[in-house]
Amino acid sequence: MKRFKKRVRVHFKLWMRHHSSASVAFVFLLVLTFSLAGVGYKYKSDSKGFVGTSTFAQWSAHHENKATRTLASSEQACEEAKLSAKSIDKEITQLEALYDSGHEVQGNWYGIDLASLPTIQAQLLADHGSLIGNKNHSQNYRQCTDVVCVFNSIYKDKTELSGKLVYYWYLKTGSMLNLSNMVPGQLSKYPGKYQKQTIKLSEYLFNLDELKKFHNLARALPSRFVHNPLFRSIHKIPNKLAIEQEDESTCSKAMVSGQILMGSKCLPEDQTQFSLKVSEHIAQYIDQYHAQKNGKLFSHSKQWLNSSQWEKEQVWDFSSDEFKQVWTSTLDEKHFLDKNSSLNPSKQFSSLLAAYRFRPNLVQAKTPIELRNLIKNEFFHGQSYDANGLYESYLSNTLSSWRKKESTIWKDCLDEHYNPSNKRELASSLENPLFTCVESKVPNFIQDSVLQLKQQETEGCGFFNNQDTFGHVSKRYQTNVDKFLTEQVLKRKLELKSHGDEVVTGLVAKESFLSEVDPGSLFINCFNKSNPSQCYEQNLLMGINKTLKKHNQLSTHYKEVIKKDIASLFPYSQVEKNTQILAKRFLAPFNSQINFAAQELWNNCRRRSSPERLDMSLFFAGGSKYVQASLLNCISEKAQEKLSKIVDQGSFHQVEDKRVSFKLNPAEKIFALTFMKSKMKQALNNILEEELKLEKHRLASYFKDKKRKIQKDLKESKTLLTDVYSYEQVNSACLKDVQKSYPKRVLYHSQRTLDKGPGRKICSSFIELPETKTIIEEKSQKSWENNLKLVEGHLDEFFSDKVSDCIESFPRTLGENFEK
Amino acid sequence: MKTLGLNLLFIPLLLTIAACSRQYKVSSITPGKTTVDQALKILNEPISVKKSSINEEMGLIYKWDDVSLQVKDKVVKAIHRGPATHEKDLQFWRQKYQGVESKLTQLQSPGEGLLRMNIPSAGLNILYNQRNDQVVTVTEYETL
Repeated sequence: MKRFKKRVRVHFKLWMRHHSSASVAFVFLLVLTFSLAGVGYKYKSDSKGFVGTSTFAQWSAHHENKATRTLASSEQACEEAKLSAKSIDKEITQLEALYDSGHEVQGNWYGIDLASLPTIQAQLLADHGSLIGNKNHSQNYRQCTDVVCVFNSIYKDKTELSGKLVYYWYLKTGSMLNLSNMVPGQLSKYPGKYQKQTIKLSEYLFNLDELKKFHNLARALPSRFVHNPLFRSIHKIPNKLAIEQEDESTCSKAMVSGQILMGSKCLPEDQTQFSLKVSEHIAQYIDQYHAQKNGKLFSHSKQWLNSSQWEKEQVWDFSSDEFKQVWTSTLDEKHFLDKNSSLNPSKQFSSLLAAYRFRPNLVQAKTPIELRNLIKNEFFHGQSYDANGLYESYLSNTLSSWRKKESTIWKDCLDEHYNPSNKRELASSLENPLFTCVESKVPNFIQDSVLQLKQQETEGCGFFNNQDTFGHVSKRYQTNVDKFLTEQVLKRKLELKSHGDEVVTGLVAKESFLSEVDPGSLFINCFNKSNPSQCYEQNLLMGINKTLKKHNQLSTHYKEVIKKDIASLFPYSQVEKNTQILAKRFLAPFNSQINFAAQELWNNCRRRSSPERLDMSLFFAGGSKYVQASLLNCISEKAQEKLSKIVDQGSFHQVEDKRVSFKLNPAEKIFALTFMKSKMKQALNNILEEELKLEKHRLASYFKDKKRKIQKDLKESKTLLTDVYSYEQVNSACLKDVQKSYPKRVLYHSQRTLDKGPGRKICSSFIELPETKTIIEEKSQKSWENNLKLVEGHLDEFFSDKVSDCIESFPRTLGENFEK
Repeated sequence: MKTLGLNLLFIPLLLTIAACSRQYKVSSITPGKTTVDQALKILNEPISVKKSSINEEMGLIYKWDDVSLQVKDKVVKAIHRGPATHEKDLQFWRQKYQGVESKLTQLQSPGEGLLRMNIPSAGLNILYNQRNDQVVTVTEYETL
C-alpha cells in the first residue's frame, strides 16, 4: 500500500512538472464550468415542474367535460346512491367516459369486432377474455354489441343487472370477476372439473346478492385499493368445495399471480365482513406493489417492523434438515386485531389495512397510534373512516373547496359591486352591497358541498342522514362550516377595508396561480426524489413566488398571506392521491397493449437459443421457475424499449373533426412507467405460467412418442451394457445416452429436471426389462467373480510377500524335523 | 496538500472496499468449523444472544443487523444472512445449481408466500419471497 501511494505521488508530480500551470488552470476552469452547468441544469430541471398542467390533468378535464354530473337534490343524490338499474346505468356511463383513450383495439373476440367497442370494453375483452364463458363449448357473441350483453348471456339474467354489476366492478377496480369454469391453479386440465367433481358453469359465477356486495365494496374502496397492476381477478370456488392443495379450513387465498380465490362456503352474508375479506386480500397486492416499486414489502420495512416490534428468528433444524422461521412481536396481544394478524407482519399489514377502512372503530380501539398514523399517511392520504375521521375529512374537503372557489366568488361580486372610486365607502362600512353579495352565495355553496359529499363519498348520505350514528358529527360539521365561512368572509371584508386594492390583486394572483400551475406536475417531477414531499413543497413555493412576482404592487406582508393561503390548497398527500388516480385512469386503457407487447417480446425472445450466462440486472427473473438464461437476458434487453413505445403513443380524443392529442412529457413518462413496469412483469409472469404448462404437456407427449425408439436404441447400444458393475452404474450410463435424445429447445426445464423426470423413467423401465435385468445380473455377477479372483490373487501375492518378508526378517535354522 | 490530494483518490476506493468488507467478513465464517469466539472477533459484538424459541436444541442465536449465527457447542452451525445484490433473484441460484440435487418447497407461513430451496450438497438453503420476488435469506449450514 505504501509503495503504491508513493508511486501515485511520484507520477502525479511528474505530470504536474510536464504540464504548464496555464494548462492546469484551463483544466480546472473547464471542470468548474461543467460542474456549474450541471448544477444549473439540475436546478432548471427541478424547477421545470411548475410550468403547465400535467397531461393527466388535461386529459381528465377533457373527459370530465363529457362525463358531467348535474347535482340533483339531496334526496335524489341519496336515492341514486342506492342500487337500481337506472343508477348503475348512469354510473357506468360516467365511468366509461373517463377511460376513453381514443385508441382502437384491433381484433375479433368470439364474433365481436373489438374496434367497434368503446376502448375500455375492448380492453376488458382483450385482457380478460379467457375468464369469460364455458371453456368446454365453442362460444359466439355475434349478437352482442357490448360487454354487458356478453355477461348477461352467461348469467341468463333477465333483469340484466348481473352483467352490469360485473362491468361496474371492472370499471371501478380494474380487475375482473370470473365468468368461466376454470379456477387458476386447478389440478385438472379440464374446465368444469374441480376437486375431481364435474361442475356446471353457473356454480362458478357469483350470484346476484354477491354481485351487489361487490358493487357496494367497489364504491367504498379507497384509491390505493383500485387499479393495482398486480390484482387481476376474483374467482369463486364452486359447490362449497375446499380450495385445492390447501387446508380444508382455508376459506380464501390471494395468489401471487394476481387472482383471489374465494370459497363459496365461506362468503360472508354481512356486507362489512364481505368487504373486509376481499379487501384483506387486495391489501396483499398493495404490499406486493410496494415491493416492486421500492424493493421491499412495506410489511417488512423497518418502519413497520419497528412500529409493531416484530423480530424474526431463523434456524436450520438439523434433526429434520429443514429451515424454519418464526415471527414474534413484543407488542401486547390486545393490540392485534385478531389471532390471525399476530402471526406475521404480512398478515398484520393486510388485516390492518382492510380493517382501517371497514372497521375503523376497532382499529381505533386496538391499534397503537403510531401504527395508525403510519397507515393513515402512507395508504389513506391522511384520511380516517371513523365518525370523527369522516367529519375531519368532509370539513377539510369543504374548506379546501371554498378556498379554491373563493376568488371566483369574490371576483364575481367585485365585478358587480366594486368601483375604485367607492373605496372610502368600502372602508367605512361592513354592510356594503359587495359584502352582501358574497354572503348571499355562502348558503348555496354549503348546500352544493353537502350534495357533492352525498354523491361522491360512500358514507356521505349516512353521515348527513343517519342521526343515530353520525348525528353528533354532522351537526358539528354544519356548525363549523358556517363558522369558518363566516370568519373567512369577515377576514376578507376587513382586508378589503384596510388593504383595498391589494386584496383584489391578491385574488387575481390566486386565480392566475390556479389556472397556470398544476400541483400534479410538481408531484410528478418530485415523485422519484429521495424526499418527494420536501421537493414538492419547495417547488410549490417557487411556483407561488413566480406568480407573485408578476404582482409587485402587493406588500410583502400580503404576499406572505397569499403564499400561505395558496399552499394550504394543495397539501402533498391530497395532490399525491389525485395525481395517482388520474394517472391510473389515463394508463388503464394501455393494459391490453402491455399484454400484447409482453406476448410479442416473449415470442421473439424464445427464438434466442445461444447458451448464455444470466445477466444480473434482470427486468424479469422468472419468479420461482427455471427459465433459460438467453430468454431472460433477451427480455431484459428489450422490455424497456417496448414500454417506452407504448408510453410514447399517449392518448387522443376525437372532437368532431379535430383530434386532440395528449402526449406525456419526459417526467410524466417516467412516472407512467412505474405503473406500467409492474403490469408488464405480471403479464410476463402469466405468460411463463402458461408456457410452463404447455412445455410440460409437450415433453410428456414427446417422451411418450419417443420412448419406444429410445429404448430400442438403448437395447441396440453396443457400449451401454459392456461394463456393468451395478444397477446404479447402468442407470447413470443409460441417462447419458438418453440425454442425446432430449428435445433441442427446452426453455423451462433444466437438464437435471429432465434427468430426474422422463430420463429416469425411461432408464428405469429399460433396466426393469427382463432381458436387461438378466444381462445386468449376469454381468455384474461375472464382474463380481472376476474381482473376487483378482482380489484373492492379490491377497495371495500380498500374504506370500509378507510371509517371505517375515522369514527374511526373522530367519530360523531349519530344524531336524524340517522336511526338505 | 499533496497528501490531501492523494487521500481524495483513496477515500472512494476505501469506501467501496468497506461496503464489501462486511460481506467478506461474513463469508470468512464456515459452518461447522468456525468457533463462536472466532466469529465474534470477525463480526464484533452482536445485538442479542438468545436461545432459539423454535427449538432450544437448535442452540443459541447470535444476532446482528444483517446476519444471525446459530451456535451449538461453541461452534457455528449455521449462518443466516441477507443475499448479496447478485444473489437476490432466485433464478441466480436455480442456474448456479442446476446440475445438483435441490428441493423447492413452501414454507408454512400464512400470507407470506415463502418458498425454500434446499441444496444439501452445498449446505445451502435459499429463502425466497414470492410476493417480493426476491431472495430474503441465504442460510449456509454444516454438512456432515
